[in-house]
Amino acid sequence: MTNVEKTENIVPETSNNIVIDEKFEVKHLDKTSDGIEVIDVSGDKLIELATYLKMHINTQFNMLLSVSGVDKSDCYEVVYHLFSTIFKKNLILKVRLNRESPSVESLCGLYSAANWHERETYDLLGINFNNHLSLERILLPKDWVGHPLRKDYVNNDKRLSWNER
Amino acid sequence: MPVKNYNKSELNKEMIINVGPQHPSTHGVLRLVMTLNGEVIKDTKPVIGYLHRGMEKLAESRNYFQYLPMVDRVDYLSSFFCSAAFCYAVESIAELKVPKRAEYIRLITMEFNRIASHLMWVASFLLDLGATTPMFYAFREREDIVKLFEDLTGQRMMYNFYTFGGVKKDLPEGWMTKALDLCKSMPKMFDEYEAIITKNPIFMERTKGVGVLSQEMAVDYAITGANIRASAIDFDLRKTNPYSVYNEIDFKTHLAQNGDSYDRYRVRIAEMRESVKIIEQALKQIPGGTPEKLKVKSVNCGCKNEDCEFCGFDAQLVGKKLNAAVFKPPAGEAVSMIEAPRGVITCYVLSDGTNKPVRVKWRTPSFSSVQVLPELIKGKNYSDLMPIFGSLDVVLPEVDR
Repeated sequence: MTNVEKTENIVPETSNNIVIDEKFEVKHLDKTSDGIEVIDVSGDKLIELATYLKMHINTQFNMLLSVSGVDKSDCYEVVYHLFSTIFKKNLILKVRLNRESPSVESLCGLYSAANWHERETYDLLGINFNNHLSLERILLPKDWVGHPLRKDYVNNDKRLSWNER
Repeated sequence: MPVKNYNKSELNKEMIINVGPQHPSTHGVLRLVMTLNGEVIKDTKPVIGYLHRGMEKLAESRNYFQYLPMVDRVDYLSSFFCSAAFCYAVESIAELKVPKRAEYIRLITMEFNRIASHLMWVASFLLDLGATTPMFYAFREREDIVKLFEDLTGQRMMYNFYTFGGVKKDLPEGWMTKALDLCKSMPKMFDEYEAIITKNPIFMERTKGVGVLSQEMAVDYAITGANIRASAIDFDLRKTNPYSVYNEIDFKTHLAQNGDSYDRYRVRIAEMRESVKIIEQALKQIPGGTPEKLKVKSVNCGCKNEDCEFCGFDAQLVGKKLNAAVFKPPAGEAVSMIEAPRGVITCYVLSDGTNKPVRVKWRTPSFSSVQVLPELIKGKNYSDLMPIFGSLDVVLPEVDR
């Protein structure tokens, strides 16, 4: 932590950062309504970009706050919320996945926090994280069928009564 | 009966025990599958999900106003923070302005809620360690705060008080004097706890140097709130990314250096004292002043000026009256981050322009705290489980959502 404090406390606006744009082929999406930057990245480049953002002295996004999945009608989206405890900055990374076999590399090796958050996303949305330590259900029972937060999910569990389905 | 002679290999056998799901000191329903070697914990596997209510799934089938009362149930000990997180997210999508008076009322209630939540934590933590007396002390003040909330909202736990663009009701008459009186008496009460707990040799023996959370581990596991501040990382959203009117208020963040259970206790006590100061300042600075005076003055004023002190925008409670049936925020997304008693609550709301949210994602701080537990108790004695787990301030409904 000591050498960090010596550096200047300036985060260059990542939207103007040409290095990121060219190296990782990212797209800058509209900012969220409360002004957090959103970066769209392809699944293959995700690990490289996340490593760069975590390790680079001017960004240092060292905390993965949450991973959430969204079911858009044409694709699945995985949304990573990054935070830098040094510069107190937010960043959102988005990865779009196809509907047939949604899978993306796991960030477990980079952030330990990713472990449970990715399990939750797998549990509720059925997105596969490659090279995850133990990808199994976390909130729902092990024998649950289907992934509830998918928009085409229908609950046909025979154990539930008619008004609970 | 002959005594059986155990040989060494039998004694070194590992044993798997199951803590919970119903266990008095797991603060809810958490199951821990532990591998023990004698008294030493070798491995732990937390099993969660017993309280999963599908908060995120329920949001799909309800409109924004129907979902608002459910939000309080995410964390029953700090309901105000959860509804604030959802309100701020929706407000920034719909671009609703919140009047200053409403923001101040939110701030005062949130800080009172923080004290109530920390008091509950002190009570349950000390009860986990086997000390029964502090519970009665802590519940005495908690009762006073809960009574204030009852006066204000009509509820003792799930308040359902915030709405998009402000709060539902003004402070009742006489509420501010009651709150000020409580603020004056509370620091003396905290002195009473500190007199029994802080220098207590048994308490210090059981918590000092136990469950040390290093800085790297805390950041890696995204631990937030008082737990990370006990590890000397200055991360307080109220200070660094101020959300409500925290930038108008002068307060300090309290840090501790060692990151053990004892420091987490000290940070929380210091935070409660700081919260009292915040409330006192807010009660002084609130635009419009006491509700009795405001009522008289705004009736007599009638100037319809935007920046009038008594009948302008900042003295209102709701920025813009919304029709619950047809409220449709524009398409967009927003993330709100709130510094709750247990850490950072983020609420990610995605709207597509209809009256129902497409996706609401809750990031709750206890989820991360439970995740780091196996790392913290590895290689410790079984008797250290509760001093460590209790000090993390985990509320299970929040973990499972």
